[in-house]
Amino acid sequence: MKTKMIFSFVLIFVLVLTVPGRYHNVYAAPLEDCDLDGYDDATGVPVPWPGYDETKGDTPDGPGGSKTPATAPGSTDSTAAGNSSSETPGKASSEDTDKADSGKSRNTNDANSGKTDSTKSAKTNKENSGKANKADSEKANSTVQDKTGKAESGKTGSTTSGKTNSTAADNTGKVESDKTSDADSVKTNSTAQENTEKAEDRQTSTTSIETDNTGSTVSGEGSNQDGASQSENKQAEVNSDNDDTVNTDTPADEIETVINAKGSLEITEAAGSIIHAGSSVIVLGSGFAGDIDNLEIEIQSEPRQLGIVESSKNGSFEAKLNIPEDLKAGIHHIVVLYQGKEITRQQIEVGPKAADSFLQALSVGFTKDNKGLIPGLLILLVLFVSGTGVLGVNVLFHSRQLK
Amino acid sequence: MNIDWLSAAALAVVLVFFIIIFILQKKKVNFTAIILGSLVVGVIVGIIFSGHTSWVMPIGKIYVSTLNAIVSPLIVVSILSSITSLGSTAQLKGIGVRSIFWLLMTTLLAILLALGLGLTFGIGRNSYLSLDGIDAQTFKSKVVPFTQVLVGFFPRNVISDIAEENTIPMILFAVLIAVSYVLVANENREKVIIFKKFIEAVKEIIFKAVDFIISLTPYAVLALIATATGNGISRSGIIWSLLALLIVSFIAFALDTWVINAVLIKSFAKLSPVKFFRKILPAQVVGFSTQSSAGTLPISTGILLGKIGVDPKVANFTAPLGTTIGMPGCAGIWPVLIAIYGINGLGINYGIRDYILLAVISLFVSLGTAGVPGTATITTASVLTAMGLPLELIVLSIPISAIADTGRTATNITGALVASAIVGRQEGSLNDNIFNDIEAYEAEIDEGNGQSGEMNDTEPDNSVPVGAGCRL
Repeated sequence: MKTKMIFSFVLIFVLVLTVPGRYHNVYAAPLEDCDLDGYDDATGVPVPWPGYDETKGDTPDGPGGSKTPATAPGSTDSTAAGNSSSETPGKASSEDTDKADSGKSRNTNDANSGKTDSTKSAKTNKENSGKANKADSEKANSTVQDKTGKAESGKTGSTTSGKTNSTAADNTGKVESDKTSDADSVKTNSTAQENTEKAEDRQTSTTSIETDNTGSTVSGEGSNQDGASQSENKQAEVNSDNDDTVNTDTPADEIETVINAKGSLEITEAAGSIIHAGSSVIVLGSGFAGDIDNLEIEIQSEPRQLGIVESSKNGSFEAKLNIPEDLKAGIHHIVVLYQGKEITRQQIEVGPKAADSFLQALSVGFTKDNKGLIPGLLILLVLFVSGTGVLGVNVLFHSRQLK
Repeated sequence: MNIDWLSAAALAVVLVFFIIIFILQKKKVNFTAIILGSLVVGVIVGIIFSGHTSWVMPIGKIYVSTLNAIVSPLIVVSILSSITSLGSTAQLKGIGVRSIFWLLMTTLLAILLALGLGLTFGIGRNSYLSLDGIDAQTFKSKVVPFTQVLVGFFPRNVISDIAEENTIPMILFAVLIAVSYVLVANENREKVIIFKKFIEAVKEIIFKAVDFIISLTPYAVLALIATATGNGISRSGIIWSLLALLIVSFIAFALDTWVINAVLIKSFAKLSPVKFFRKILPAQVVGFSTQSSAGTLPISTGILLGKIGVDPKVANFTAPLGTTIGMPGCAGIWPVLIAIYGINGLGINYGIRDYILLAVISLFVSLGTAGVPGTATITTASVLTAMGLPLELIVLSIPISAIADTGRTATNITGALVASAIVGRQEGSLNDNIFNDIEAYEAEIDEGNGQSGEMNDTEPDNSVPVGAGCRL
C-alpha cells in the first residue's frame, strides 16, 4: 500500500514535470449567448441576459465596449442573419421572430486556410434537418467557428466573405427545440458572395428581410438585446433575395463616420517574397474606425473580394489574404470598403503566377515581362559579333600573311 | 515554460544525422555524395517536422555567418599572396602581366556570357524566393547611384572597408600593398622577406580555416534545407527554377569552353581550336570527374608542355596561376548566375548600371579569391556580399552546385590552358612543331607529377599558390 502511494506520487510528479506547461493552465471560457436563449452556447450555463457575450466585453450590467444598442448598430455578431435566407419548416415556422440583422454575418468557411468561398463565387445551400438538439449543435458549431474566424482574423487573417447566413434562425430554432422536438428542421441558405461582383453592385443592392407575422422589415440596427427581446418567442424567417451584404438601413452618419476614418494599409507578401498571383499577403490596417466588424477587403481593378475583417478598438486589423491565382500581373489596388463604399486603397504590384513546371521555369525569360530579355540578347549579340569580328580579322590577316 | 517538443525532436533527429555525417567523413566518403545525402535527409526532416524547425535553424545561420566572416580576411590574404608570388618586376611586367590579363579576360568573357544568358533566360523569375527572415522589399533600397558606387570602389579607410564588407576597396588596397611589396623586394629582397613569410603563414592558417568551414557544409546543408523545407520553401516554383538555373549554367559552361575559347585560341594563339581541344581533352575529363583544378594541374602542365608546345617558363607559371586567378567557371559564370537568380527570384529592381556593377565586382572578386579551397562558395559569397544580396542564396543553390561543379572545374581548367597558350604565343614561347605533332617534346617528365624539371628554376617563395579546386 505504501509502495503504491509512493509510486502514485512519483508518477504524478513525473507527469507534472513532463507534460508541457501549457496544459497545466485552465482557462475559464467566456460566456457567450449568441442564440439569445439566455444560456451559454457551449456549456448551457445561464447568462445574465439574453445575448450576453463576454467576448465582446459585456458585463451583467449591460453591453460592454462601444457596442451599445444605440451606437453600434448591427453588432449582433454571430446571431446576425444578414442577407440570409432561412426557412424553418414545421412547428417552428409557425412562430415568427423578427431577427435583427446587421448584415454582419461572417463567413467562417475558410477562416483557417485564408481561402474563401467568395473567391470562387460559390453559392451554397445548407440544409439542416434533424432534431432540435442537432440544430443546437449546428448552431453552436457555427458560433464557435465564427469566433474562431474572428480570432484568426487578428493573427493569421480571416478571409471571410461575410455572405453567409449559417445561423439565420438559430436562436428561434433553439428556443423551439427546448420545448418541442419537431421544430428542428432548419434550412439555411448559405450564400457565399460573388466576389467578382463590382462594388457598385453592392451599393445599389438591397436586403429584403421579411417576417411572416409582423410583416415588418427588420433593419440591421438591432443589438444583441434588441435581437434577444424580439426573438424570445418568435421564429425568424429571414430571406435574402440577393447575395449582397449591403444593408441600406445602416445609418448614414455611421457610414460616414467609418468612411471618413481614412486608415492606412501596409501590405506584404506572407512569405517575405514579392506579391504574385496565388500568393498570400498580410494586410495590416491602422487608423480605421474602431470595432467595425465587416470591413470588406477587395482587390481591384478586377474587383474581387478577398475577405472581411474586423477592426479592433483602436481601428487596426491584420489579415492574411490570398491573391487569386488567375489574377493578371500588373498594378492592382487593395481596397477597403464599408457597406460598399470605399474607405481607402493601397496600390500593389502583382507578379505572375509562380512557374509550376520545368519548361515554364526555363522559358520564363522569353516573355514581354522580362525586362532583362533585350539587354541579355544584346550582350549575347555583342559577344557573337565581337567574336566573329575578331575571328574574321584574324583569318583575313593570316591569309594576307600567307600570300 | 512551454516546450515545443516537435522542435526538440527535430533537433534531436538532426543531431543524430550529424553524427552519421561525421562518421561518413571519417570514412572518407565522397564529399559531394555526403552533401547530396544531407540534402535529401534535410528535405525529409523538413517535411516531417514542418513548422517545427526553429531549433534547427540557428545551426545553418551560424554556418552562413561564419562563412561571411572568413570572406574579408581571405580576399586580402589571397591577393597579397598571389601578387607577391610573382617575383621580380621583370617577371611581373612580362609573363606575369600577360598571364593576369588573359586569365582575367577569359573570366570577363565568361561573366558577360553568364550575364547575357542569365538575363535572357530570366533565371529565377517567377520562382518567388522566400528566404527565412529576409524581406525582398528591403533590397530595393540598397541600389545606389552609379557615381556613388564608382567612388566607393576606392579605399577610404581600410579598417572600415573590411568591417563594412566593401569588397572592391579591400581588393584594391591589397593589390596596392602587394605591388608595392614587389617593387621594394626588387630593390632589397631581404628587407621585406619577412612580410612575404608572414603573408604565407597567414595564408596557410586562413586556408585551413576555410577548409574547416567548407568541411562543415554537409551539416549546414542538412540544417538549412530542413529549415527551408519546414518553412515551405520547397515550393515547386523554386525547385523548377533551380533546375533551370542548372541547365543554363551548363549551357554557359559549354559555350565558354568550346565557343569563346575557340575564338580566343584561333585569334590570339593562332592555333587550330579543334586540334587544341582534342589535345586538352584528357585534362578536361579529369577536371570534370575529379572536380579539382589543383588535382588536374600536373596533367594540364604536361599537356601544355608536351602536346601544345608551350615553353616551360610560361606553362609552369601561367597554368598554376590559372588555378588561382581568373577561374571563369567558379568566379565568373557561377557567381553571376546565382546573383541574377537571386535578383529575379527576390524581385529586386536592377537596372543596367547595377548589372555593370555586378560584372565589375565579379571580375575583381575573381582576382581576390586566388587559391581558395571551395572557390565557388567563396567567390559567390564575395559577390553577393558586395552586391548586398543574401548569402542564403548560396545555401539554396547547394543542391545544384554540387552537380554544376563538374562543369565549373572543366571550364576553369580550359580557361587556364587557353590563357597559357595565348601567353606562350605572345611571349614567343610556343613551339608549333610540337603542337602539330612534327616534333616531340624532349624534356624529361617527372613521373610523379608530370611536370618538367624546369619547374625547379622558380624560386621557392615565388611559387604561385595552388587552389584546391572549386569543390562547391
